[in-house]
Amino acid sequence: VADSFNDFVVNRGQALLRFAYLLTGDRHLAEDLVQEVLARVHQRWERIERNEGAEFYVRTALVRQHISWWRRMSFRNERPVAEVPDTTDRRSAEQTLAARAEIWQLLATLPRRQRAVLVLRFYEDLPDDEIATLLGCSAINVRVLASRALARLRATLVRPTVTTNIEGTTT
Amino acid sequence: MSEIDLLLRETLQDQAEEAPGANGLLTRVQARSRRLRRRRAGLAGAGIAAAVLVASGTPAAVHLFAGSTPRGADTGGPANATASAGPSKTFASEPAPPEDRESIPPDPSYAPFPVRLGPPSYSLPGFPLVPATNTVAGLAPPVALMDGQPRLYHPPAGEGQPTIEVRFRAQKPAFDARDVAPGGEQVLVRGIDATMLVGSGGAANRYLYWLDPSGAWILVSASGVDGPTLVKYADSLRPGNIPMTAPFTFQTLPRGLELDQVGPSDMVFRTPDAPPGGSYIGRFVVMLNTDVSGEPATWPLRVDGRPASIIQQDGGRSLQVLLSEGRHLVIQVPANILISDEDLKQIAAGTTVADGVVGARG
Repeated sequence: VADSFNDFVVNRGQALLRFAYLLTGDRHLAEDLVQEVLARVHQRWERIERNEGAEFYVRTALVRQHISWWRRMSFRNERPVAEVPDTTDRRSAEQTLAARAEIWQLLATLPRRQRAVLVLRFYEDLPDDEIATLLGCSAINVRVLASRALARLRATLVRPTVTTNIEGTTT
Repeated sequence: MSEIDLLLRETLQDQAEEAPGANGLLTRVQARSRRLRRRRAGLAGAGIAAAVLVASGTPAAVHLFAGSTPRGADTGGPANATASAGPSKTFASEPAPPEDRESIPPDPSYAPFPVRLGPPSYSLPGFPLVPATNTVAGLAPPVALMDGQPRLYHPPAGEGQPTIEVRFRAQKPAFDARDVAPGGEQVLVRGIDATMLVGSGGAANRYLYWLDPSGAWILVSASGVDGPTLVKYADSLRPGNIPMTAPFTFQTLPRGLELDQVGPSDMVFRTPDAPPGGSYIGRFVVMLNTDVSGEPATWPLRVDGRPASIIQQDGGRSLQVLLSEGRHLVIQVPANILISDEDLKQIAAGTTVADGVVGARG
């Protein structure tokens, strides 16, 4: 048991930390989240391993823990709902980086479930039905969450910035 | 795939490379697992839980500066900068293998607490220190909140604006080595030797603490404030009283629960056997949220004519009530607090959100 759990952590730990960082947007929280989930998984590793799909189990735990029902506000993450950052009509050569930084900022303003759906869809490339299983909701609900999140991003981002980023043209 | 989809995908791939490294992860997980096992064993009985409270070191009375006395005392809740080392959070939403789900106990468990409703009996303490105004540019006015005991908090006035929190601690503040830069600067605050630490990894956090002659440690945590300015702020603290304003008022509450935490958008009540502060675990929690579980249009219940639903979770259940677009009243009840759905709805119906309260994301 110890060996297989240790192997799992060693082999998959970095990927889990990446995933957790994208969920939380905070390195310390990501580390805390991964450690907490893995420590608890360790307690019943045999049963989880028997059921196969340990990684899916752990990723599900990461997501659910992060959007947990038991909210705990700490000094580090205690903040009122952030205003959407101001946007300006940038037309510089650094637009790609600026747009990505802006997207990253905007992700921090999304509710956790919406952010989780975007990470699962666009980073993990999971289909909606798997996201639904992971979140414990319906696929329709996943699509609603994604739609709302994307609508918020679209409404806030400056279109010329996006166009330049993607198509490499200057507006 | 749309432009925004592509941009989002690229952004996530880029940012994933900024994630913390996995060096030492296995060692930390193993240590945490051992602590978790010990904690579970240690919390097997309510009597042992009470011992935890005693062992945390609670002074009978703490006098601050000249004669002021804070209500309650620090019982060693998690320090702001020690999330990685602090008590583990609950794992209420942890998925379990299908055959195992029902066997997962609430963690930790407290004694069953049957609820009878009654009028609220708590009082709101104030914070016994007052900072001077205008010592920190852009700092919002302070509010008195509570986390087991009163704390002073300057919320951010806007994105990127400074924040400061002041709280008392019964013991010298301890920090996770990974959260602060090595070493520390010795400074003087009101003529007393104090230590200032800086958050690691370029974090804009600073922590300033000193042992007050009264015997209490005072910890000032700040974000977006430089060192000299933080000392100036700490120097300006004087005895006084900042009254606490709660985000909710209630017509009725479970009798016997004690007010434990007051935040900008949440109030937490604990059972007598739960240690004060630092956690939502095993607590009766009332909060205003901006995000929600499910679709309000489909919620089957009504509370005061508003859509509502009760969600069963591992470890308890929660009632959420739609107040207006983007504002949801949520009441979390752990499994050990035995309350009927009707009583829960009655509490929600008698809850009023104070003016100006901004909901938080769960």
